[in-house]
Amino acid sequence: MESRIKTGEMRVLVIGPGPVVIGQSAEFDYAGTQACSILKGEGIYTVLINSNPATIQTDESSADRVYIESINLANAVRIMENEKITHIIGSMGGQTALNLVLDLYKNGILQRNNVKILGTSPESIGIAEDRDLFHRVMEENGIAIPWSITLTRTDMEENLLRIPSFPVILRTSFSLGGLSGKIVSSASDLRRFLHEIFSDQSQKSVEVEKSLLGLIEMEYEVIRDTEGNSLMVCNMENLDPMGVHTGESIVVTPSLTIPDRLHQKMRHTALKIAEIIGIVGACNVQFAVDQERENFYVIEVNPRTSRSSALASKASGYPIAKVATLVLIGHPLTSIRNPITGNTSAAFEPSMDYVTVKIPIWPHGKFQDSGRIGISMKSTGEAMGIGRSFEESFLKAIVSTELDLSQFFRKMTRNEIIPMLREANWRRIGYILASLSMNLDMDEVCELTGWDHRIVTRIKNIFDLLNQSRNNLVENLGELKVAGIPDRVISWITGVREADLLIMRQKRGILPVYRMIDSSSSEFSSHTRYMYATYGEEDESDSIKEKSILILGSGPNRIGQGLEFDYSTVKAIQALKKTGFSAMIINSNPETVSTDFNTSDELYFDPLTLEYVSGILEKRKPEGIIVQFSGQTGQNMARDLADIYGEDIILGTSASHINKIEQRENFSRDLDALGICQALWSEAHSTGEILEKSVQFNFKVIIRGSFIIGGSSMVTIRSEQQLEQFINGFSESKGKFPLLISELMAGADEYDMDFISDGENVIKVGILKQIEPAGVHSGDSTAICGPGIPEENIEERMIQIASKLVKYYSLKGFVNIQFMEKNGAVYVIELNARASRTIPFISKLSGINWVETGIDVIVGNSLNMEKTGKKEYGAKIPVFPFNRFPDSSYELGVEMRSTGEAMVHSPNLKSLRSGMKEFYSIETKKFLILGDDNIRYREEDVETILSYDEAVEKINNDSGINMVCYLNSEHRKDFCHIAEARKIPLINNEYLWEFLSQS
Amino acid sequence: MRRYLLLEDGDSFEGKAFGSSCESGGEVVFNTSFTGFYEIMTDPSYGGQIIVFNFPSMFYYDYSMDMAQSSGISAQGIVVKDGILPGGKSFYRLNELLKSENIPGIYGVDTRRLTKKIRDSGNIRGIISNSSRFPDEFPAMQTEDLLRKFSIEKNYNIQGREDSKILFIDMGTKTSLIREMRELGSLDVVNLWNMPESYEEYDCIFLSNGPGDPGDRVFADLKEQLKKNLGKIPMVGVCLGHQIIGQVLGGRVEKMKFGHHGSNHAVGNHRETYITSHNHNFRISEDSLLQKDVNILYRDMNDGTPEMIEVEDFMILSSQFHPEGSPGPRDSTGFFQKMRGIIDGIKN
Repeated sequence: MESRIKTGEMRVLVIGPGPVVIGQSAEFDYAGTQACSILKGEGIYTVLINSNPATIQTDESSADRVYIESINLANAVRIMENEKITHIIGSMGGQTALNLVLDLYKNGILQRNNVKILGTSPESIGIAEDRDLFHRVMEENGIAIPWSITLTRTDMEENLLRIPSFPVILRTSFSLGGLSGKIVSSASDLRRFLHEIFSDQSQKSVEVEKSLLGLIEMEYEVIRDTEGNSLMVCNMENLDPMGVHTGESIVVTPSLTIPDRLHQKMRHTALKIAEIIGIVGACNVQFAVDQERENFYVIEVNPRTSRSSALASKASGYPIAKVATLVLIGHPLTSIRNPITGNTSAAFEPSMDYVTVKIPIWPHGKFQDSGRIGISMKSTGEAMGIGRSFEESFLKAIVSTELDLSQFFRKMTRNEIIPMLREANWRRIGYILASLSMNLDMDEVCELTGWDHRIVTRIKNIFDLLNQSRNNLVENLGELKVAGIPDRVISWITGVREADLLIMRQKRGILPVYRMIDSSSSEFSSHTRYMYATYGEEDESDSIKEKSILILGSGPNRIGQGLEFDYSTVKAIQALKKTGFSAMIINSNPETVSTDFNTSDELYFDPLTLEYVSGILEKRKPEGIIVQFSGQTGQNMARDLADIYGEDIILGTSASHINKIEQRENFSRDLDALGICQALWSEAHSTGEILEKSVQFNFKVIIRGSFIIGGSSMVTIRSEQQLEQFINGFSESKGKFPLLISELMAGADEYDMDFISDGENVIKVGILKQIEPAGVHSGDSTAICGPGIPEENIEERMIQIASKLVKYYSLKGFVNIQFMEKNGAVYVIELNARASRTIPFISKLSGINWVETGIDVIVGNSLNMEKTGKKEYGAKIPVFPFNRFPDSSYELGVEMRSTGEAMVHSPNLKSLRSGMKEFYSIETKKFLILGDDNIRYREEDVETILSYDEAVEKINNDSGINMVCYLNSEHRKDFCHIAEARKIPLINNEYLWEFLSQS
Repeated sequence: MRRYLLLEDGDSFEGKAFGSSCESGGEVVFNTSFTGFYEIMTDPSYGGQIIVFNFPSMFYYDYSMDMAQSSGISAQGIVVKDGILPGGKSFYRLNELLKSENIPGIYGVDTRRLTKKIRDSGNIRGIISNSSRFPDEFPAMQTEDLLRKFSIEKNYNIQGREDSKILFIDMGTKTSLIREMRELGSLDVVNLWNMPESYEEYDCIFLSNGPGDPGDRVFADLKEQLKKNLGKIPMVGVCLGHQIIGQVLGGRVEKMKFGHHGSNHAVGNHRETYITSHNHNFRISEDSLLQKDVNILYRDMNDGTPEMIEVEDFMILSSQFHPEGSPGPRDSTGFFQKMRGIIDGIKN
């Protein structure tokens, strides 16, 4: 490859995205990781800054130097100076990275240090980011944009008259995931909202814009090089019309309903915009399309890799961030090879002979929220389905969400369904399916949902076929499979278990075949084994001789099962390769590194269900399956797999032992039998018993069911009233008994211990101490780790307990135990026979590749007990999405609600504390304490304010307040919202504040 | 109803019937576009060919008459994956269109296996039939018949830009090319058998796209005529027209293994590249153009096929790809500006 830049002399700093938050998630981990790997591959000295410990990006192998530090100006400057950085990349880490690079530029820091920005220039970024400027530039170039008028406090009334039409959208400022924005349909409503907005003194102006509600939303992914060559990687059609954020919408790639001439006009406009703005690298252009009138408006341009780039990369087989990085360092598209085929030009636009569908994942049941979706993002991740027809992809995507939609196929009435179709909401997909499986009028369904008639009628076909086939399932199974209907959907409708469907199919030889994704519709040959399952066609998974092992991925990112598991999955793949096995992975998450086709030897992009996992087992006959890195998903599937393929198929802890542990009441009985302490508990088999058993604990209880994901079937009760609410909700949702009722112990410390075992020996991976007391979910609590935590005798006791459990359950591989400690006594809360959320954090803190140690044991080698790592202190700091759920309580509990985490590390506890303070901007800036006067603060500059109004004013009038520490107040929620809205760091509980206040 | 695509090597593909129930044969080619299905079917260059669509979900798409590139469907037959369960407006619409034009279709076919076959073994002839019994013979491409079928019957004029006059040789043109040419001049549209006596009144000769083998003897007279006028009058061609011009310059055409058919092909040189719409099974061999002062402006970025050539002294410009898109991108409309420049050049 030729390049005019002397890459050998470059020292590049890549800015990461920081903790996972809604609207900025795993997709940027993927982009940044790709960027680093390309840079390193080009022999460029590569430095990364990212505070997120959960990612593969911050693995020490990602870059020549990885700084796990807060992404801020001071740290960036220090790193640039220490590392003698020559170039910086800010287009791979979401808005966070882009903003940091812009700050560095605006402050003249880049210029002073002679550091050049690789990719789109700050001036060009400015055009895309500044709404007014962007509109002006688009208008000058004859590109249609929706009209918009800016209103200020003073000219509001007169400008109201200038508004040409309703509905309109209000925009208060730019923010992640389009946070601001309300749709208003009349002048009187508009006036009312404006008064409300301007009552906040900090709001200087509001933008009122034409609402494009109901039009089709389209996206175009563009790459442009330094020579001005550009191409479209793919386009995407949102099934949900405008009004639903593209991150919240069901999206098809490529478009299905857009005629060529309209598509070409949009494609051309997208390339033209990239040229006008001066994009170098990746860019994403969004359109609102009026299909009837064959016109469209440009609604947004992202001058960087975006959320959609990851999806587009996985959908098309064209890795955008990789090619974009080569472009950033000066390679023209003409000289770059297509990474998936290896033998064609990257200047070709990918073509697809399959369809992909993406469905968002929402945090069901986690927050008080209407579940309505609109122009601000609430989803935490996405699942993608790939198939040889739209129907197949769509249904595979639905199954990949891992939601149980069977309830929607019970007899539902028109009156139940119709109101749920009108407004986009988290459960609408279920109601759409319900309406299609019944004989509701399709025109009405289309009208209510805004979905295209052509698409709705085709999905209805599928349900008609299913309904016709249900009485003679065995005979029709072949046809159902070729039509693209996953076993799970058949099971929802017919009630036949998936395992039974699998056996029926095995008997008749109806097994999936595998097709390759090659970015060229097989026009050119490709040897990259990126596959998906379908039925009734030729199989392309020609046999590989090597012994292989299948690793189960963790599926779509959701709260409680996110990026951390993908880190472990990727490390496991790397470790497996070292042991000489061919590493195969199955996963359905388009955002992650594990589904990059270069990560594993074979990538199967399919739903994590029995059907698709068994398909690979039948075809590839691996030595076994590893389920330990797939979070709760794999634990739930292990039993069925072992029943059909034998116990040996599950590597590591056996399926029957997993099952014993996961049956909560069984596990509690085992603990009693082993003489291991736990909180007092009892079982409830009826609602009456829930009440009865809770009374004995004075209504301070934790209630659990079996097989939990991120604590979502676990609830803390603190009062009789809360218990009543729970019982009502539980009965309504037809929850399953038995439930485990255990005492919520007050004043206990909680510890999270990870270890690896070979069935006999135990090697401690790490123990984290929670700062918040037991009862707060380990994923939501701030936790610290390091020498002397916990005290020696407590650690000894924990290891004794671990050893007992290891022998009892023959635990092999990774194990995680949550302990409580009170007055020197150690209690077990929970055992997970799998890698936990904290593995990446501990691995990075200790500098030890723990996953490799675990894999060694899992594949049958002996446990290497000699491990010495760094003796550092680390803190894991969770981040919460409360700003997106304004009706939700900020109270931390057993239900996990944080979306991601940051890491701070230091050689001693004292400096760790200052590092944490720095993360929260405590020391450098003025801050505000809100609370009652029972708590005393030693530091002089602490301001304690008791009056609500006074506090609000102080935060709002910009009096240098850069930090809010909330303690106890009835206005807790309000303060948190104000702080979040003003992007002011927030400490949301007194335990954390107390910890930080210690000197 | 079952229907079969039978191939001359003895392989067959089973699917379900749609469109006309008649039997039809031709060369089997695949197209990788995910839009523009109707534009593709109606492009006369597909005359004598059975089109396999790689994109599997094509029945979500509108088939409206104003997308047509000629008066009807040009292909001999349509092979698609989509429609495992037929239904929906688009399916019925296309079904009716194919029926009314006596074109058979077959859906539910493993088009990826078919594509890989064509890719690996090269162009192949086939027949769409309701019977799985192989015929004794597979139809061979008859270029003259195709040309008579797809080019205009009688010469006619189109009023276009007034200051120039273009001789438009229709060999089975797409309507979008006529549209582009009207922007450049008034057109005298002629077919191969009704060529004018003299070219003096024209500012440019334009050779359209079309079906068939560019080496066929039906083009012999035309090539002779053009050769005589080399350097006297600008000549511009697209697709088949480009291949004719290549031969007039002394180049040789060769059949490609499986050609280029799609809207995603990159052409360019070592610094610039454009995404273009392709539909060709033949090409001018680059070796045969060497030492003939032919400037190869763009090559295909994958296989190096000459995709756009220029001979300044002879006022010649031609392109193997379709700068008019329709379907496909119009990133390379610079071609028409260049053509304008040549016409203006002779005027001044």
